Amino acid sequence: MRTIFTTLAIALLNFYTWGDKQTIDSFNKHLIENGKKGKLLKQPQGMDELYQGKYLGQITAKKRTYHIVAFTRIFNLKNSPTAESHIFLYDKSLNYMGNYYLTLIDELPSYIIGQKLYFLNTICDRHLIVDFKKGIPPAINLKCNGENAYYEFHK
Amino acid sequence: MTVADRNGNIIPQNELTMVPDISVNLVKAWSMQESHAGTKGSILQVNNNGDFTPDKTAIGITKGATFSANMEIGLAISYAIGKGFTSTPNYAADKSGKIESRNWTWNGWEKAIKGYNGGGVKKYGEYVMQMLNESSKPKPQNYNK
Repeated sequence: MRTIFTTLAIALLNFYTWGDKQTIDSFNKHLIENGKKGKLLKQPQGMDELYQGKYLGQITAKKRTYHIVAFTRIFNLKNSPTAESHIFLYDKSLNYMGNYYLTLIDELPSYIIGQKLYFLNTICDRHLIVDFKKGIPPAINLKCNGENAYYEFHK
Repeated sequence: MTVADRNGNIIPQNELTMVPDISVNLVKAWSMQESHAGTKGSILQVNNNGDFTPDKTAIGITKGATFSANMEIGLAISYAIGKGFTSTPNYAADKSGKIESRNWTWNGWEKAIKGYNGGGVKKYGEYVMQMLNESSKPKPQNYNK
């Protein structure tokens, strides 16, 4: 009985995750396909949730091209709006490659120049640049006011 | 207590000794910010729809589950602790980019609480700290109607 219950619970969990992933994927792909580079798009998801994202452009390194989207999901809008921010990466054919899951919305990158991702976090003492010339970094350090903030790439 | 960082990595128990006890008044201020101390919904709003990340699942928060206020406070504290830690990766010597281990740093409760909200409310951390700093011991006349 317990095994059946656990299996059902896991299936339900996967359904939720997959449902979310699909919606976020569609939103991000819409941004990339429409070439709305540098433009912040907001899309309500029902009454209590909002997606907002900015397509930053593409980086080509080591013969591979990545599309990069700065994405935030803001949920619990009615009670206590809470943000969940990610840097999403897609390949040339728009297949999901992975993401960096950040702690704060202010940590999202602002733009791309060449193979570099620029972070202009106004509350930090300096701007940051993450270089993709060696490919996708396994972790990035969004150091702010002397404090490290490592984010690992999550496939 | 099980605590995970934002990637779902479990923070070793010995590292958790760096975390000082959270003050009761900070929990009160935090709950005021989240739910007006439970009057606008669950006390710390730890398990809302739309929120489902590796650091939550790793500590046993499943989407849609409901908790007693007592359990929720415990889970919210565990979740917030994960936001207050930074893990510095140590890479494999073979230059494959594989992360072999991590060093952990605790950045304090203020950072943890701010990270809990993620920036959905601007100045969230400041509001909580302001309530904490301006809190005072209640006097008998505060309870008179």
